[in-house]
Amino acid sequence: MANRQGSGVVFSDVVQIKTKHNREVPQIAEHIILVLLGVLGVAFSFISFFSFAYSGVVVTLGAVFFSIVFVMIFHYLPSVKLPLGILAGCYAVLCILFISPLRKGFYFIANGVISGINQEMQYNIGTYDIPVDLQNLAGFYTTLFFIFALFLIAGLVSFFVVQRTSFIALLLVTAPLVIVGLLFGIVPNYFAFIMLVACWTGTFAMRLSDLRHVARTVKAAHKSDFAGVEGKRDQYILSNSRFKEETKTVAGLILIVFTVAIFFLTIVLVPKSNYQRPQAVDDLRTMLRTMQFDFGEGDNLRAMGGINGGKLGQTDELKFNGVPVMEVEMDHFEPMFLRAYVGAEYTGKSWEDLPQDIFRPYQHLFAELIRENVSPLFITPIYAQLYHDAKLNDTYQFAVYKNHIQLQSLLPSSEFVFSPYGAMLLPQDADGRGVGYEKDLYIRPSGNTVPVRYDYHVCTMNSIQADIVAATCEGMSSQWEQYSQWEQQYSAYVHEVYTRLPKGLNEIKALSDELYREAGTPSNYIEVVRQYLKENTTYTLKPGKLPRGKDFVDYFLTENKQGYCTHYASAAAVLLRAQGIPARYVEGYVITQSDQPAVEGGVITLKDTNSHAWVEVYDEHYGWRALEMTPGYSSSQIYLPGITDKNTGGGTGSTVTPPSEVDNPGSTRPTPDDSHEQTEQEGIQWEPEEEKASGFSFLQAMTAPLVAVFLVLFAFAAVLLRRVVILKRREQTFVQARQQGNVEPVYNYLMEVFTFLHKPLQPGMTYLAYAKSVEEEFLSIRRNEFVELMEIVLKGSFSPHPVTRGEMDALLSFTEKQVAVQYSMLTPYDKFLFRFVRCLI
Amino acid sequence: MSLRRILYIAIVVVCICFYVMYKDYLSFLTLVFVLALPVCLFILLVLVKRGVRVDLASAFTSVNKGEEVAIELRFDNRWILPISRVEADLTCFNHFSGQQEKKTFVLAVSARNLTVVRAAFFSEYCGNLFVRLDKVRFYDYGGLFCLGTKPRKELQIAVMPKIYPLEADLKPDMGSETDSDLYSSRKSGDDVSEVFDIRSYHAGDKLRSIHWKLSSKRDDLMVKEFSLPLSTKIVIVLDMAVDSVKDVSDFSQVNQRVEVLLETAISISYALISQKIQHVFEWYHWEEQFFHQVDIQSPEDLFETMRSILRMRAYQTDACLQCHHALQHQKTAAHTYYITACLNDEMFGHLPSKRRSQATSVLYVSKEQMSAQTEGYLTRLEEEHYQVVRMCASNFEEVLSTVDLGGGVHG
Repeated sequence: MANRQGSGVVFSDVVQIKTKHNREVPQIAEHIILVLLGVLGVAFSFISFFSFAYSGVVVTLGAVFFSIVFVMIFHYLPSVKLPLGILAGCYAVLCILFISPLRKGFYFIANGVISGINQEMQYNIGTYDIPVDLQNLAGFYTTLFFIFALFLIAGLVSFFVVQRTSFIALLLVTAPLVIVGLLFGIVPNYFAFIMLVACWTGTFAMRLSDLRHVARTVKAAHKSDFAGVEGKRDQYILSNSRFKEETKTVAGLILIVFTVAIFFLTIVLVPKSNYQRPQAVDDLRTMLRTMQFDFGEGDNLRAMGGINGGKLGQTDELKFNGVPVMEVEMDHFEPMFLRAYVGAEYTGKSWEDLPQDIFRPYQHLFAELIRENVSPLFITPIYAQLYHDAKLNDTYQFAVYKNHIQLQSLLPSSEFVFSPYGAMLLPQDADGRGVGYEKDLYIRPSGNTVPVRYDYHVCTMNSIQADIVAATCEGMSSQWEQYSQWEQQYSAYVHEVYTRLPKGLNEIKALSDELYREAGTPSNYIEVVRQYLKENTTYTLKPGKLPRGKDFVDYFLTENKQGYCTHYASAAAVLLRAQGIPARYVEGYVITQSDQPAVEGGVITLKDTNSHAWVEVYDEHYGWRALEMTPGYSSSQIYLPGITDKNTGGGTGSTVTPPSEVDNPGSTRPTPDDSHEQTEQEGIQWEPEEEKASGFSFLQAMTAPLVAVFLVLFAFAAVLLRRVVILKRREQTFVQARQQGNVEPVYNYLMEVFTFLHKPLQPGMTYLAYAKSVEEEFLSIRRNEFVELMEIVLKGSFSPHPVTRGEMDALLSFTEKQVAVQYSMLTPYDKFLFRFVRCLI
Repeated sequence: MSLRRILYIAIVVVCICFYVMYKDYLSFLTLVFVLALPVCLFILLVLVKRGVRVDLASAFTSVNKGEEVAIELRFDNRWILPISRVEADLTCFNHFSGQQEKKTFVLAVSARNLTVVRAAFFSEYCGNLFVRLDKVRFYDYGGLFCLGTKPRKELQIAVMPKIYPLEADLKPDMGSETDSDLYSSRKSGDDVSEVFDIRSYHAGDKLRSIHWKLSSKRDDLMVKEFSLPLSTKIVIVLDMAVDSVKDVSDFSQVNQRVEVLLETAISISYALISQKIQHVFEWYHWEEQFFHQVDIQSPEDLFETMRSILRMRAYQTDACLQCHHALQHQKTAAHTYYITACLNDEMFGHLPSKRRSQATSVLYVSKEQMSAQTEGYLTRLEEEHYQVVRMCASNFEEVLSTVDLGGGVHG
């Protein structure tokens, strides 16, 4: 066989590659590393997305065990069918035996996934009701399910890494489990993700280094190669079998090392604590999100009252479904705000974080505060601590009130850590890892996405008390000067930053000027704004979505004049800023008097109905204090540190004033549906609820397409698997046939091909007559070529003389060539049938 | 590689989107990784490439047409890392036919090892083959980058034309004629116009053959031996001109005809020299624009002549006027073999006179289908009593073995 190009020089198709030394390569080690990285990476990436109770040790051990077993099988055993069959049989038997706990495990995992999606996407998909007595065994069932799932994952990953070295197939198996979280805005565990990426890159390098034709040609030395048209591919024959593995192994290992090293160096050089996104990127993100919204992407969004992160006007209707979101324990009950997201920059469509270029000049101040273990969020506690340390409490007849508050999030993977006002120290998560400040805005979690518990010691004072404390402490210690200096710098920063507004908004500015003229002083102005909002707008959960191109606050105040807490908080913040009063938009949960537990110190379960938005204004000596501007939420409902206006005098002190009634009956905060509550209490059923919350319609709507997609993917995978099996079997059959001089498999294959090409052997027709008719039909077959080969077939079938190796080669060569030629002339549809349905090539 | 680059760009785009839309630190890590990985791979590729020495070798310098030539590409990698993919472009350029064949070898190079690629080829046409290792491309482990190097390694292998046996007896008549300008290299004669040798005087030498001037200088009697003119001066005129080449697809047919021309001439020459018939081989080197005339007295002369012919490009597209002029001046030749593939009206003006027409053989190498005009030329030659031999690429072996080419020589 040769490449005849017409230039007169004819290269032999057989190319020999040999090396001087024949080295051992640690291929098994690399396979184990790759598979372990893949299995552990994908498992813990997926697990980290959602809130699962599971045993990490058992899952890890299971992943390691399965990975090693499968790698050993694929690496060492010449035939994997039997051991894989035995394993599959055992797996099936165990599945049947453990079907009940597996189902329960599935329900737990499904609930975790659904809850995560609900939380992140603000969907309202129903969850499985699980009996309360089984909740304690959630870890067992979930772990058991993971173990069974890991068996499959380890098997597939091992097969595609060790056996096939197929990067695409590996990606298809593993990537969906990561993408599912990312699509819903959830970020996986960093370490697991890095492991998975290392597995991908390692396999990718192995694949590239696996000169397929080289590998195939080694086989071609024993069998005919059906992969291409004759003469288009060279046959590379390697002088030693380890040579082709060496580059694969080394390339894979290098990529693994590079991957880990790059991630490690990046983490070392730019640690998370120092990481600052460029302002331009944030601006771009804002622009893209605005565009996305403008193009109607958010039309069907329905908020469930969770934390939006400053998104405005994307929902036409606010919905609550009563999902428990947080458990709160406090030494002494008091209504309060739990702040999460704080918006610093108003864009007209959203509240965004602070621009980096604005923040940068003050960065050193915050770094110093953090270094001195002082929260940049709350200035109050530092004076309070000073005051407390000086034991001046009795002099002024009031105590610095401290409360111990513990927050247990029931939802996974929040971008924000909830914190009460006046928290003295930065909390730590359950694993003892530190959380971080996002400038002076909010606290962000450490990256651990499982629900965590945070402890706070809260100092509660009103602003008058803060003034007294500050004045009392003046000059009393060396620390005071330091505190005072910090406060002055921070005050300058606040007045520069938190009074910024976008250009335009002329009507808003005119309105604010008018209101300020009416108020006369800044403190009166706040009350006038609150009153204006109450009298000129209507509270509703269905304000409609923001029309394209409109400014959120402008539209609310001048056109629509109806909205919910987000509208009121945003409008108030903008009106306050318009008069140079530092103000910020805040999202979080509110605990009112109605949430008080029956027993002091008992657990308060917050639901999504507790979510809320309000305004923060800055007071000298006190810091940021919350302002309630939403009608129906009276300031007196909640103990708001510093809510009492200094100018109006008086303060709530430590006395908690219960809400008498909601100011605006029409704007009552929605409560969970009674029947729903009842269902939650009674609900011990193992089938998915048929009608649970409003998520049913979504689930129902998505079921059909999801099932269809699943079926299509399953069918596609089945077709590919069948093709692989058939081709592999044919390949082995031909190798044996060549060695034994058995023409029958090749003849059957040829007949199958010609039958597909509508040229079957007719009954009663002799073999040679058939061969001649085939030659007449197909121009690519030379005259007497097929007849001669048919004679070989007849010889192999009926003659006592064996078929020679040369005759077998000729037959195989003819078959290879004709199959390729005939395939190349088929229509695309027939090609598909030929390749994937009949698996003839 | 393009596909992989597109894939990489797509991954970068996805990571940039991930980075922009996700504020989490992981998006930053991922983007840095995706951007940094190719840089690392490229640096590694540069280092690895510098550690590899490439060479090209072959044990052959001259082969017969159709014989297999084995060559070796040697990659001596002194680095601790292997190279997962290397592509080596090899070019075989046949200077005679003016055509070339390119071949790319794909391989992996082992670490701290000598990797040898053994390949073989044969040439269907004769000529001087220049086997060049044009370029070697090294790929990184991610398949994104490729660094090329031009090793400038070249081998020259002569592919000799095939010599076909001629059955005809070409034994010449050794009678003397005065107007011959070809003299025997073995025997002395009486033609005073050409000195054959100068030697010491032997008893019996004629007095008029003593070289007096030299004898007086040497102080010894020296004798001039005069040359023996050969009446059987045989001339082979090889006209390499072929019909105009219209397109590239015609190359193979042209090459075949040129090869038939060359092999016919060589075969006749070899047959003559085998019968110890000294003759003259004439051809026009159109690149040098020089008409070569070489006395062929031994197989070595013929071999050198072949190498000289192979050093030039095989053909020209116009009729060779120089060859026609040469024919015209073959007055002393006992026989002339005019081997051509190009006939035209002008040629008839240059052919030897009718008196000598019987001592001229025209061996015409035609296309497979001869045109009517060509047939007319050949008929006219036959009418003028020239010996005309028609042959083409498919039958020239048979023609050479059967046709009687010696008639003219005997005459």
